[in-house]
Amino acid sequence: MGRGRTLDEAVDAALIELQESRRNVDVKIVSETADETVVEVTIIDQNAPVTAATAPVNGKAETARVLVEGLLKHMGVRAQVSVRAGAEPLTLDISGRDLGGLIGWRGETLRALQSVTNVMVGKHLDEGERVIVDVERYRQRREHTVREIAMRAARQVKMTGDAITLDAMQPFERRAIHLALEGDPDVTSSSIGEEPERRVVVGPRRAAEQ
Amino acid sequence: MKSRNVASSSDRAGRLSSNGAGGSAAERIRRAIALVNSVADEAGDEELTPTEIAEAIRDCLELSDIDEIPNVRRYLGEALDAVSDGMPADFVAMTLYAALGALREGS
Repeated sequence: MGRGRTLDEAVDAALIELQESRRNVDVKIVSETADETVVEVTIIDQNAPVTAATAPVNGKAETARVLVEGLLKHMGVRAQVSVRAGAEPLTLDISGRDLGGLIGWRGETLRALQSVTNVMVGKHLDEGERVIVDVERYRQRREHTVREIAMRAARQVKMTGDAITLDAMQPFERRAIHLALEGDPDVTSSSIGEEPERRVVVGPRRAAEQ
Repeated sequence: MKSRNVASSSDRAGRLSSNGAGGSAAERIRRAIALVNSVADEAGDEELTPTEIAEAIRDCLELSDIDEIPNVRRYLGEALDAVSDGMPADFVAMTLYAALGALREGS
């Protein structure tokens, strides 16, 4: 186990304790809050076949995991693919060293990888079902960040009564903001502008309803 | 195209065609990708029709620069066909990413 304020700090703490390097271990996030991240770090048996499933094996999930693992192998990327436990929709986590290239500019490569994954596994999925692909929890971190931005904006809107226009965001980020604020009785969110410059506006609910 | 939040919005289509005149090939392809991803990711805050997405791809095809780089026009044409054939949003997005990748490799 490793603990730290950030994911990197928690992993570093565990690596120091194990006296291992990052490439020889598998990292699983046990809990993640604003103040502390707890990770479970296990040493990878280099001779054992890679079976990084961390969730109970589900046919569809395992098929998707194996397909993405194969795709990464063809791309020459050394990484582990695991199924995120309890995630809905089905989410694949890719972890490894130096995977920045797999995320790309503003997550563009990651989004492309997700599109390819959904095309590859589409025939195994039900109508409307999708697979989410995440690299080093990038997407989860972004969602967390934009939710915090949404909450800050909501507080400011309640204090001033003025609407706030946020920066341009990707669809999944805008969706996270709308979901974060939908239960708030005092503020409302909507989007303006054209893709890819579409922005969320957070404003007072009463003004929006008049 | 497989989408759950698609509805008619003719005013937006008009804005799209008028705004789509500018921008480099990469910008126009990214814009088309963003529209498709908006459908695929269910942002839930806009109503897009396949016609609007096709319009954005045609904006890319209008640029003569793309003929200088191999495969870009071919991938864009395939993406347009995929929209017409009602293929899933992820398939259209994948084809557009291929066009963007070809553009990057060739420039």
